[in-house]
This record gives sequence, structure tokens and C-alpha cells, in this order.
Amino acid sequence: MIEIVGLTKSHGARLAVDDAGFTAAPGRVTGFLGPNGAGKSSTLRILLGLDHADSGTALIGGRPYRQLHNPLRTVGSLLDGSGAHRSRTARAHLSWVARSNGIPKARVRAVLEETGLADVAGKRVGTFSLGMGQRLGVAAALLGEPEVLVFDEPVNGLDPDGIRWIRRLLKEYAKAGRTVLISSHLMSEMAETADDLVVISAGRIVARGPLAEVTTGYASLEEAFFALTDPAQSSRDARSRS
Amino acid sequence: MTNDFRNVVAAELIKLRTLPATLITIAVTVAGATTLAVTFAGGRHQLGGSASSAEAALRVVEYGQIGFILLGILAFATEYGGSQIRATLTAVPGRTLLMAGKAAAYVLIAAPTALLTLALSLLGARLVPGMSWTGEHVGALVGAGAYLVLVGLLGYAVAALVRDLIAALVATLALVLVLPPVLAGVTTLTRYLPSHAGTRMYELAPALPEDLTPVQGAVTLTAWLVLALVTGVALFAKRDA
Amino acid sequence: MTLGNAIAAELRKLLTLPSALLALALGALSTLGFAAMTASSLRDRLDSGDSSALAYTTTMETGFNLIPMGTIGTVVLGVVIISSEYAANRKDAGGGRQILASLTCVPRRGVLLAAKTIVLILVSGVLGAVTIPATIALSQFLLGAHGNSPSAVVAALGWRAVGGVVYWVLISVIAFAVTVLTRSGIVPLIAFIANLTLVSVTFMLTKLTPLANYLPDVAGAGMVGVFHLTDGMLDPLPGGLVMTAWAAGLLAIAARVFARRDG
Repeated sequence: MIEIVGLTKSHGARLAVDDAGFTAAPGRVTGFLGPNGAGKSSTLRILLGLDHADSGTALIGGRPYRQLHNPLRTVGSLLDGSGAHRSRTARAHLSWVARSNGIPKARVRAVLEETGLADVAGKRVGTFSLGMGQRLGVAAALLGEPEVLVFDEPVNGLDPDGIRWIRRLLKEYAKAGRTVLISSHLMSEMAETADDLVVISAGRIVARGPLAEVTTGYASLEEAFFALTDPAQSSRDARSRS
Repeated sequence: MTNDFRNVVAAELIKLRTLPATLITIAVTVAGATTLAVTFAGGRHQLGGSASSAEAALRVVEYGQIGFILLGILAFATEYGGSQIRATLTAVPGRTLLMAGKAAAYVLIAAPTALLTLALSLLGARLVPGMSWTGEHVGALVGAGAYLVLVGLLGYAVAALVRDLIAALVATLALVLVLPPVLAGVTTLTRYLPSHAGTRMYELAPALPEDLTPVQGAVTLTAWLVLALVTGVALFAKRDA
Repeated sequence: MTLGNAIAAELRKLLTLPSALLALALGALSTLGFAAMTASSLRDRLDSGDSSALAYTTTMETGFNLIPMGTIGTVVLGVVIISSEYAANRKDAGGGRQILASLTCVPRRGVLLAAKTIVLILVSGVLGAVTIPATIALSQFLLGAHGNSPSAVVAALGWRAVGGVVYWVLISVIAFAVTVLTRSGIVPLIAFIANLTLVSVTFMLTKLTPLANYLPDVAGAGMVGVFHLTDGMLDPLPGGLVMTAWAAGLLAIAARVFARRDG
């Protein structure tokens, strides 16, 4: 369960996140949709304890990320790329990540198998393709068998095979009663994967709810998206709804 | 406490020893120091040294410290080479805990490296014909080992402040190597500079009459380190990743 | 793509690089700052009649003794002009290294390297030509009654100021050439910063073998004349030529490697 309430964050004079609030429920894949620069990554960075919020809260299972005990056992996350140092091997990267949260070594081998990286485990991350780096990031997220997954643009750089693989992974994860939050600017991706939708535009949440509900009255998710994220349109929308 | 401290130290140790740059730094430091010790011993007539192997080994510290500074900087600054800092902070969100774990991992690697550096320097010098070692200057050698580990921590703290490898390297080298001699002619306060004070932990004779005692030097260097590390931790906790 | 365009592009690139601007500020301000402190302290000691004040120096060469230390600025400049090309961008900025953009803009390796070299010589030359005379003038001014007239300083030691500028330029070119080979700034920074201080390995070597007088920094030191003087140190002109030969030789090797290397 992810709960975000009244979240605000500015970078200098620019308001990146403006009083944002939504929840991501267990057993559902929640899609976090918005154009580039709308505040998706800023929100996720605060959720993961990387940045400080100016005000508001972002809780996972009722606690802020920075207070979680062995956080990787509760939350697995992926923020563009693996975050592995280029001169380290994939196995070495996963080893330290596992060790930092007291995750048994056997999990390293298991996630390498699961993400299809077993053959390149001994290669330096600097030699990886974009897709392999993305798989390594997913592997690190799965290490702690977490209850919650938070993925920023997970299909970034993946080939069609990889995209299908990650879609299935996320859906199965949610089906098992766990919480999955994914951000994307790719509508087709969201239409395929998400159960619930949260749409952000210029730092503000402009729509949220089950996928079908959000797209009601529009021909497609794409039309809904442009209608919702067009500044002029969305203010009209807000008026009509209130 | 978000993570078990022992797990954090163990994870940081894995990080350091799976980084090729760390291993290269250690190898070059030890080999370079030994070569210099042999050079000081073999060239003692031209370079103004005695037949004491311990003295030759102690002269190496001034050069060898560069390796330890780099080691300390690598322990922190490599987080910022790409986006590893994000992976690190999502794994260990406790900032103070992480800084402490990193420092502990550095010390666990730097201490044996210092021991090896000085032992091989001593041995290398001793093997040069005409050189001897009769157990003198053991106190200074221990002080030298401690200094090497501590001066690297200074690099670590500076790296935490500036978050960039090249900037940390320039700043620390300027602070340790360039500043003391440049300021020496201007003020006697240079004796309180971290490197100048720390030098007293192993130097056989005071360079200047007003120099600190070895214990005062160690205390002064430690005080600098505490100040730098506390500032580093405070900034690290306050900044966005 | 002409060399002129490449030079203009490289100049803009360098002057918009924060670490290069820091290096320029560091080189100029630290040299001036330390010169001010040294000159003021010397004046105070002379005012109070301290007879040991001039044991190792003269009022004439105050300020000159900071020329070697100031090379830290041009060394950093020479390193970052190329190491910045190889630094990986943050992933959220798209990743990648600037060198790829540079090589697609100026595909001829020789032209790119020549443009960088010329820009480096230009910028570190201007830095030296401004900083060194300013440092000497400031020092003489701060010495007050103990100062010397500008004409007397120029007549006695003007060649050293010129030599200092040449030294700053050559050391930055050498640092640049070495960094082209290593691609990372770590090794050249350590080598050149450590070597300009008391723990200079090259000056130690001069005590072991006279051949060390032909090492680039030792040979060039003759032009500045205020380093630890060694036996057999080269005179300013031959010393400068030896250092120039080193810079040219290292550049030639760097160019050869750079041209054959894949981006």
C-alpha cells in the first residue's frame, strides 16, 4: 500500500510537484502517467527517500521509506537504469545490494536467472546494452522479494520480448496480492498493464481511479491523456467535476 | 536504524573490493612505496639519509599518503560516477548509517594496506646492502600507519562535501600537499593544518621549533577529521540525492 | 568543418565548463591571494627589523616564488579539457559521453585535438599573462617602502615572468597530452599536483642522476628560476626548449593514439 498525501516539492523557483495525492492499492497495478517533466520522477524520488518533500507525506505500508527496516525487503525499485557502477560486474553489484539488506546470497543467483542475466553475470556493467542495464535494475528490485514494486519507466530500452516479460512479471506480482506502481509516458503500455491510473500534469494530479473510469467519455486512453494534460482543458475539467 | 550496521559495512566492503580502481590504487601504492624506500636506501648518500631502514620507510609516507587519499575519495566519490548513489540510498536510506558504514569499510581496507605499505618499505630498504634495522623508531612507524589511514579519511570527508572525484582530488591534494609549504613562510599557524599536524605522528625530528608534539598532532588531525565528517554527514542528510 | 570553427567551438566548450572556470579562478586567485599574504608578512617582518626575513629570499623576487604553485590552475585546465569529454553523463540526462558528440561534429581526430591544444595554449597563456604580472605588481605594492620600482623588477627578473607564462602553458599542454592517453583525470592530476610540491619525485631524481635535469618540469624550471635549484639545472633557453620538446613529443603520441582509438 502506497499513500501519498499533499506532496509538494519545488526545485528552485519551479514547482515540480504541487499538492499531489494518490494511493496505490495491493493486488493492483497502478499506472502513473504524465508527460515528461510533469513530476513523475520527482514524486517517485520522494517516495523512495531520495529527495526531501517541501511538505506532505509519501508512505509505504504506513511508514516513510527512510524509516523502513531493511527497505529492499519491503520495496523493490527501479529508477532509470541499474544504478550499478560501470566498472563493476553484474554479480558484484547485486552482491552488495543484497548484503546491505541482509538478503541471502542465494537470491543473487535466483534473480540473475529470473531476469535472464545469468550468462553475463561476470561481465562489467559498462559493457551492457540499455536493455541489459534495465534487466539488472529489475533484478536488484526483485532481490528482497518485496511486497511493493516501484518502477520508473520500466520498459525503457527493452526489446519486444523484454516488454512482454516485464508486463507479465508486473501483472503476476499484483495478482499475488502485492502493490505495483509504475510510471510511464507510454499510453499503449499503460493501457496494457495498469488496473488503476493516476495522471499527473504540471505537478498536479489531474485524474485518478480505475483505468475504465478515467477513460470514460474518451475514445481511447490517448485521447483521455491529451484532454487531461492539456492545461486549458484540465482546468475546465476540474471546474466541471467540482 | 534502517539497516543492520554489519550488513552495511559488509556491503560497502563488497563495493570497494569489486571496484578495479581500488585494487589498482592499493597495488600501485604498495609497489610505489616499496620502490621509493629502496631508492631512498640505495641513494642515501646523494639524498641525505642514514643506514636506518626505518628512516627510509618513514620518508616514503609523504608520497604514499597520496594513495590513501585516493582510496578514501574512491570510497565515496564513485557513488557519483553514474547513478549508483540512487541504488545505494534505496538500499540503505539511513544517511548517517551509510556514511559510517562506508568509513568503516574504508578503514578495514586502508589499515591492512598501510601495514603492507610500511612493512614492504621497511623490508625493501633493509635488503639494500649496507642498510640495517635494529628495531628503532617502532613508535614512529606505528604513527605513520595511523597517519596514512587518517589522511585517507580526510579525502573521504572532502569527497562527501564536494561529491565529485576530480574536485575532491584537487581539493585534498591542495590541502595536504600544496597549502602547508606555501603558507609556511607566512604564518606559524600552518602547524594546525591537518596534514602538517598529522605529519608529527611519524616525523622523527620537528621541522620547526614551534611544531606540535606527536600526540598533539594526532589530536589536531583527528579534530579536523571529526569536523569534516560531521559536516559531511549533515550535508549528506540534508541534500537531495 | 574548418580548424577555425573547431577552435571557436572548443573555446566555447571550455569556457562553459564549470570545472574549467573553477580551474581558472583557482589559478588566478590562489596565486594572487598567497602572494598578498607572503608580501604582507614579509613587509611586517622587515618593518619590525627581523634580520632573518631575507635569509632565503629577496624583496625583488617576492611573488615570483608563487609561479610554480599557480600551475595547479593550468594543470587542472589541461586535464579537464579532455577528461570532461569522457565523463559519463547522469542517466537521467540521457547518459552518454560528450566525446561522441565532439567526434561526430569534428570527425577528423587531428583537427579536434589541434583545436583543443590551441584553445588550451590560448586560455592558459592568457591566464598566465594576466596572473603572473599582476602577482608581481601586487607583491611589490604590498611591500610598501620595501618594494622595488617596476622598471627595476622588470630589468632584473622580467625574463622570469615571461618564462613563468611559458612554463604555465607548457605544463598544461603536457598534462593535456597525458590525459588524452589515460582518458581519466586521476593519474595526471596526482602526478602533476604532487610533483609541483615538496614531494616532487622528479627533483629527487636529479640528485640521483643528472639525466633527470632533462625531465620536462625540471628542465622548464630553469625558465622560472625559483624552484629548488639543482646541480646541472639547464639554463632558461635550453631548458625551455627541452620542455617544449617534451610537450610536442607527448602531443604527437597522444594524437597518434587518439586517431586510432574508437570513440
